[in-house]
Amino acid sequence: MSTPATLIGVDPSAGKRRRLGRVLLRDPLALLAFLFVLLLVAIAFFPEFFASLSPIRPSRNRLQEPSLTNLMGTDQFGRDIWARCVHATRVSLSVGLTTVAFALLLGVPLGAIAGFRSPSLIDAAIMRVMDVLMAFPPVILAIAVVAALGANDVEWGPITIPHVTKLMLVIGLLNVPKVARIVRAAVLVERNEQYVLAERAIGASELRIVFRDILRNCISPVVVYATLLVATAILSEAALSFLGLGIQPPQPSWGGMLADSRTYVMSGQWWLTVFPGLLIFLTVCAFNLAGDLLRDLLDPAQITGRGDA
Amino acid sequence: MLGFLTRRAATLAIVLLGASLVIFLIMRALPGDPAIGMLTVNASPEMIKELRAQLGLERPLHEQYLRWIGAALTGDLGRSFFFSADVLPLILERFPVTLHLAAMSLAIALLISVPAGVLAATHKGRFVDHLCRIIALIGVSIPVFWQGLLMILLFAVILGWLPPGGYAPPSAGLVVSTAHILMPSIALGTAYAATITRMLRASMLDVLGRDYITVARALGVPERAVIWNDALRNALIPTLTAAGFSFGYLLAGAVLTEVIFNLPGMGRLLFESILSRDYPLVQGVVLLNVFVFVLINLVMDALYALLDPRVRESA
Repeated sequence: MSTPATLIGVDPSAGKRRRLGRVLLRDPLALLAFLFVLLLVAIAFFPEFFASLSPIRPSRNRLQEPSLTNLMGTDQFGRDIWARCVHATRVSLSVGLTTVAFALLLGVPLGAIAGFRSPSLIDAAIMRVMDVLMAFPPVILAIAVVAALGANDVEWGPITIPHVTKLMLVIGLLNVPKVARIVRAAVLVERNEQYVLAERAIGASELRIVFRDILRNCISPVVVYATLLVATAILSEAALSFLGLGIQPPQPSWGGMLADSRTYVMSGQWWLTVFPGLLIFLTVCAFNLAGDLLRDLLDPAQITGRGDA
Repeated sequence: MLGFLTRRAATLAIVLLGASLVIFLIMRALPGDPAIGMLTVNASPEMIKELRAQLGLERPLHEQYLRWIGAALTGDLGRSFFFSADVLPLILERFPVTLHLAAMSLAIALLISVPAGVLAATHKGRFVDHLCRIIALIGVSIPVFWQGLLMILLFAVILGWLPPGGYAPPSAGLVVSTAHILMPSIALGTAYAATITRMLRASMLDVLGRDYITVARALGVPERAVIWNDALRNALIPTLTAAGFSFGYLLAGAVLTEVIFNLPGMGRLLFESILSRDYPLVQGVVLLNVFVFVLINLVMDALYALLDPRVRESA
């Protein structure tokens, strides 16, 4: 017993694969975004392959304009900006992805339980807690938490939580309510479907119904939202690093590099500002495009219908 | 209507109370002692203990919270360690700057997004629509702090048209004041414009497919009037409420914008209070931010209910 589509002998994944090809061909921007994300992943895994210079060791070539040796120029300590950008990719991507994983890990079960049990005390309790979290303007709470915890590693007894992990947890937690709301709304619709009745009739446990069958059919909006969330998470990390609360120097981060560049904007050393920001921008753009692409892909009604956003 | 508002206000009061608890716990229960932060490195343990007692940090946690929230309800948010002054007046002094920035950003956002959203919807699938889509994508993806820095680089450093930062209140003369607030507002407003454009396009498309639009067209109402009167007015309702809900992004973006452009607003105050570990001030600013955010959501809810009776009845 699984999705209705398999019951009538259709392999839904084959259709989706074909549609992926068509959408990518139709939309060159989406294709570019897709390739850019692949490139970023490659850079994150093998930074040394893309940049041979050290991202941390200072040199005498301070504030050099972009040239053949330093493609993006050098910063105030003579470090190669391209190398720093490349080495910052891994931390930005991992913050983005881990944050989303954490938000899903908490948000999906909470939303599913709330939706399946709605209306009930547990539904109300979960959603009110979510409301409280939603009451915080997003970056503001992250700023407050990180400020309270300090930008160092935290030691709680025997456990040491690295600062980067803390960042991921905080940004992730802030996004739990949105995930929970999306899942809850989807579950509210799905639980009245025929197959749920059928499951109940053959005596399947509620846990199995919710987590195996209902959730499987609610996956599209979650996947779309999760992709968009990667973009938001990367932006949040960059903002926190820009404010000096994120990744700490000398470890390179895109936001941190932008913060350093502020001093040199007025004297016209543009390369310090332009390149790290461009990378944040392109990365966020790519994930946003990927999210839009997935929405078109997973919900074909929106391609032809008028509910297109 | 009154019943609806009372119910919403009650829910929001609970939300605010919960939020204040979260803020309090974050600030107090986590490692890091504000008393140690306030004293020099070679302070004796007695001095630390004395200061802790003075700050009320030796009392049980729930008592500390109740005292803090009780005082907050009467407008007393405590004293700033750094400024040695009451928190609330400090914040209120900076508030007009943030309000000015937010209002200008909102104005710029609407000025861009309303025509863009309508054009994209009426030219769906055509060149204008794709152009709007790409510009909106750029708008939501561009980090506000990078955009701000690029604008300073271009308009202040290279072209020399606008001041690179600082603030002049409207009382200092409209031209000077606008010259200072223009770049920050554009930087902050574009992301918001992109979000509103997307929402407006979607709800315009929805409205344009409704029967009453077809009827209006059949009755011979000019297309321009159909779009700008009948359709836009109906499409604006859900868009504006949704825009109100994403106002929080404007508040958060204000922190970054104010830091970049050296605007002495609430956001920069938050940033500075964090750097100086001024916990009462951090608490106060975050609490006030949440309060404004929640209040705007309530106003938007009320507005929505006022305009759409179905919302009133179902809530």
